[in-house]
Amino acid sequence: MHRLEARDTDPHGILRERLERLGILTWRLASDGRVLRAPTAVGVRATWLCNPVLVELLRSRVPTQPDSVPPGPIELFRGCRVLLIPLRVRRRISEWTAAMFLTTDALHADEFLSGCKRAGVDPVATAKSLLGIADFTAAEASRMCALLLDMAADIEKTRRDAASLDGFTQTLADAYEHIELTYGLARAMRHLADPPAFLRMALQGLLDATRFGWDALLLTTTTWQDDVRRPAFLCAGRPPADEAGFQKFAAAVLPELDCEGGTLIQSDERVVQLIGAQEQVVLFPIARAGRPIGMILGGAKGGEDPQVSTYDTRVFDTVGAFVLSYLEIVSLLHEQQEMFVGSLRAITAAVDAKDSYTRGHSERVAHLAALLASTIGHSEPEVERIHIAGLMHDVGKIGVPEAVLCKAGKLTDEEFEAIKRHPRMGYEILRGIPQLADILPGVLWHHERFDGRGYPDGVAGEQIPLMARILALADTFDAMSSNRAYRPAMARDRVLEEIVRVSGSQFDPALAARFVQLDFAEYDRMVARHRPQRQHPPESLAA
Amino acid sequence: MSRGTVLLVDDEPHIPLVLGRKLEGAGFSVVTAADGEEGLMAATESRPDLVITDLQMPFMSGVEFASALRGHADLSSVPVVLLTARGYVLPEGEFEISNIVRVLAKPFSVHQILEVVEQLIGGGRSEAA
Repeated sequence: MHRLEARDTDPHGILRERLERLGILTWRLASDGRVLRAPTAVGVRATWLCNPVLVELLRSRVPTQPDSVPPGPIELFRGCRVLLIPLRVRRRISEWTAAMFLTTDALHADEFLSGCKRAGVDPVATAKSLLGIADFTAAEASRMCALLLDMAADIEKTRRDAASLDGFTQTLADAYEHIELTYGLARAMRHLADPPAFLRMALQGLLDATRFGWDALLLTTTTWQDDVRRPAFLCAGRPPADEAGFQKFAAAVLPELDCEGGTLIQSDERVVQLIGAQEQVVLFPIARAGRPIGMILGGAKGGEDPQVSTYDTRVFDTVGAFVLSYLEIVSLLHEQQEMFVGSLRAITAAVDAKDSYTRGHSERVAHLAALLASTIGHSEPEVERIHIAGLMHDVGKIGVPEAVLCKAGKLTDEEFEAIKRHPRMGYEILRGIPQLADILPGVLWHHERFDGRGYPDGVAGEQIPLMARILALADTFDAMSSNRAYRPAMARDRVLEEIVRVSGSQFDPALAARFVQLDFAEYDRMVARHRPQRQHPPESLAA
Repeated sequence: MSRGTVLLVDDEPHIPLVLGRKLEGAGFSVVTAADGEEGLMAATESRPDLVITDLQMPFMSGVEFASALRGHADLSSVPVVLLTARGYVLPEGEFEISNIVRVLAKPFSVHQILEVVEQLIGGGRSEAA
């Protein structure tokens, strides 16, 4: 087992420890020579080692200039040699280790005796206590000192390497976090259906990869909300203000933002007043078509360096670029979808307008078909496709003459044949549009009957695709519920009765049973919306 | 033969180490120092062709160091590249009073630094790089 070494507060500790094991007396001295730690000893030896004469001698020999460090041992007094080893932090000497080598001569020196006197210890007993370690000859001491200096240099180098390794480790750890964040965002980019989930992930990821205490995203417009003008606000961590505060800040700052320059560092009074942040706030502007529409904010940076640096702004730039691209894709997709559905509605309206009685028919069929599909458990995208099929189901009527479509009296066989051609005609019209390939069966077979007596192909039962069976119900329901050139609208009860009556012959019985249970409130509202624009009021037709 | 001597000055020891390896690999000689003071000593001794220094350092900042180089008779024309994590924007006229020719934001890629060195003193890209 290895433990992580604690931060080095006493780099020469290991050196002193080793020397003491060799019987060499060592001091830890401050840069000015004050004793920080005397050699480990007991009894009279310990008392003598702390005597003022010795302590003052040591202090007086510690150099005051960093460039006057003696290259080898100095003689403190006769028989007493001391090696001063500096500990440097950024070339400044922060403390010293003093190693003392005694010969027997030292135990007779005046300084030894005066030290004993000042310390109040018996010189004979003290000399005896030191005799065991006072056995270095001058030559031995010199060789030992050379070794010690090398050892100190090694320790110095180890410290530098350790600091370097620390720097590498931290840089690597940060880089790894940022790579993870980038991977995560890249992976999440494809989830276009749920923008808030992506944005929340981006904000949380940004917090996890940095040392910020909070971040937030504000947008003045969105494309994924029902009301696009409703501003969006998302946050992670513990922001100092609520949404209202951030919105005020955005309103004040947005108009003056430079949207090209990337992440900015804000520390003006608005940061304090509007969002209550006491420290620097990082701001990434979000623009659409050159106009600022929002921002990503981050604040309360912690860690060893609470000042915001370009290391931090780089991460905001990265996350900001992802968010910007994502929002752009979502917006373009939304616009494309709007354009697509808008075009379909325009075509549908053109078809329905051929016959004033069928105004809004396709919209209502689309609504009913989608409602039924949703009721029987279709997924949201499937329901959306059935809605589009409903919009387009009668597109083939473009090819049926208006004289036939709007004829009030009974149709001739020939005219009825012309009407019966509209499903296939619709199919042919839409066949070239790849985005509509999946709704073609619905368009082609929405006039097929469950008993096989429908048109154009006479397919029966489950052979008729579900989409077409759903459309058949919705189409017939709306036709019966509306005025036609050839007959007035039927009452709701009668319509539902009729559906039940022909369930199994005209309609899929299981579907019909679910259909008659539907809530027609929205349908009725649509009918009401479409009605005022009718050219002929129903009353006059009913007569 | 060396393509020139680059003095790297940064108090975070791993940065001169990473940069130094890359530059040596590209054929430059590299001298390092841990702060502006040491940098000035190293510059006087090694007469570098280019100095790359951090901005925030103890005792003497990158800008002070660059200004000191400017004031030194033999070193007044040595170009200085300043690295900074503080979004330092070179004030108007700083080019005149110091030797700073370029300011680069940290974090940087060593590749990017090598390109700058090549531009400033390398006489174009070397084949070894």
